[in-house]
Amino acid sequence: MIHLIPHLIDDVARRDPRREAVRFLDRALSYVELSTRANGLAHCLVAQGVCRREPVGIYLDKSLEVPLAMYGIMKAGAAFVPLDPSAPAGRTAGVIADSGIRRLLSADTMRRRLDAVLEAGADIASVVGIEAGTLAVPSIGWAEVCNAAADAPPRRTIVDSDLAYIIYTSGSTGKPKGIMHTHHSGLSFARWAVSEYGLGEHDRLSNHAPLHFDLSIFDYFAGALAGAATSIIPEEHARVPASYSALLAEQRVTVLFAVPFALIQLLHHGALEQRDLSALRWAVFGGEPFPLPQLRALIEALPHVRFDNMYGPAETNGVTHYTVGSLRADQESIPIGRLSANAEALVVDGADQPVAPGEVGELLIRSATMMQGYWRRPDLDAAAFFRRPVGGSHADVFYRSGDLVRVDDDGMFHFVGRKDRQVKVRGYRVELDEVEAALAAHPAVAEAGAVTIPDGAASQCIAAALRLRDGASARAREIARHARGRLPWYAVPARLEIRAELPRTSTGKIDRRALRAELMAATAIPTTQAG
Amino acid sequence: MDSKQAIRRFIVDELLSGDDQITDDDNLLRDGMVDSLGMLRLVSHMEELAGRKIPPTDFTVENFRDINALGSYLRRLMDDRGPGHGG
Repeated sequence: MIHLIPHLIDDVARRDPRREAVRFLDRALSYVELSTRANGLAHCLVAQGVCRREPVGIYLDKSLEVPLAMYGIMKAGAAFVPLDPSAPAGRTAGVIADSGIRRLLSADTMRRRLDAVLEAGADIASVVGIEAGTLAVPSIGWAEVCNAAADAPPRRTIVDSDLAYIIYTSGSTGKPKGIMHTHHSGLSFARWAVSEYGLGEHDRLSNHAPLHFDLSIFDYFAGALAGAATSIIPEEHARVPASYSALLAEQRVTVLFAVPFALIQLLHHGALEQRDLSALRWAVFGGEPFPLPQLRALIEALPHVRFDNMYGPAETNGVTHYTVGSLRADQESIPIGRLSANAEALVVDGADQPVAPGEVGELLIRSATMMQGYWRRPDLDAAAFFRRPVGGSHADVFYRSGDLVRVDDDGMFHFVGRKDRQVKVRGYRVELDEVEAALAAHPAVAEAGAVTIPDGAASQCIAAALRLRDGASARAREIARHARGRLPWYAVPARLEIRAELPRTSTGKIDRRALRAELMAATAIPTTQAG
Repeated sequence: MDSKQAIRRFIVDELLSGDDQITDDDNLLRDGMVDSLGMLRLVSHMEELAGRKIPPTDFTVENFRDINALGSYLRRLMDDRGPGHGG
């Protein structure tokens, strides 16, 4: 019976051992290789003292070691925590401290970044993936782990409601927060996805998103449940559209899942007319709304592909999706679709009362795919969960998405906006409060206001203005460097201005609407700038 | 200024807020050093320097991986032979 996420690969390994599970350029692992090596890694982690439910960090660039690390950690009864390999060292050390990670899976190619994270104060007891004897803490290389492949995982009691992984995302107070998923929530999502998209063993999925971005959960878990292969798209290829499209064509990818920005890049710079993408049947996108002019052009460029809008915060996984049909000429947006059959939604007003049909309200979701809660943050849990009593001390627990939606007469959900200051940049969640907190942490900065402005590439970027402390002096460039050292790349303001004063509301707060208008007016987003 | 220096100056000044610790063989694409929007700005800048469009088929990992690769690619782009012969 499949009741734990690693059972997905074990099951295929038993019935069709040589079937390709994962590929990275010209290297691949079959299901039996992935399963037995993950068993070996799990034994190694248990020998190192990894406990049940313990969070174990994955600090790796996209590679074949990533799925190995995920499954090995889960087979040890522990929970994997993807760490953004491109985040500033201080931020990564902060996530390590917050999650209580003592053990890391990394690689020799990460050595420079790993040293910086350790220097930034990460308290690590041991590392897998770094040659033994080269770190101040005990370590073991990947070659040794792979040589220790085993037919069975360690004996450990693990049930489906146990913690399987923690995904960190932007937090509004300036501190990232950990979203806890169980084997049950991950598997429930995989089952939904396989059924909705009709995935099978002849499919080849592509993993475009890095592991710390929850889109990758679809590629790995739904792919394994379908017995399909998953092609990992190297970070380099993911950023360079003509190489990305060449890889999709060469590897005959049938299903891709990416943020709209990546697909728009493919459209404009992917040399699509020279690529044979005849194998591709699904292009699923999510993370943020797809601008319709670009979506229309993409549908025209790839008429044989079905385009699909998947919606769901990292807290719930995907819970609605909409397969794009013909688009009316006057249509300005597409719905996020119908709710999964195994989910319940409430659309409520500010007092948690249901809004009238067709009215806009906040979407509250209850589903099997939902998170357990935020790691060690009962305060966030209290704010994020809505409890509907069902008698006695029991309650149905809904997640407050913060997304404003409207449900039409056909039961179709439409995304309207956000209730708070969370924004999306390239599909990544960014809390503008976190950006402002990072800027204000510079000693010369008195206060900062951050907003989003169009980036000139059919998406948006962050712009900020700030006021310096009396008597302080600093250049915008110096503060931008400070921000780059604290925030992930997608949250760093693309435009930063120092002002003598910021626009104010009548109550004296920063008037962010006025600020946005000013910054937009001042910005013809630089498509070309003389050096 | 040679093509590599021109690329380096643009990346350091415009994309990295003046942080000049980057080396010519640091992978710009992998470590989140230059984001996807930064890449587009870089493409526009190179088109301006070369006075010609970069064909989509040239927007590849091999040409854009690091400052060394970008420098040689820009030199080829500026060459009379045109980018179609460059690789």
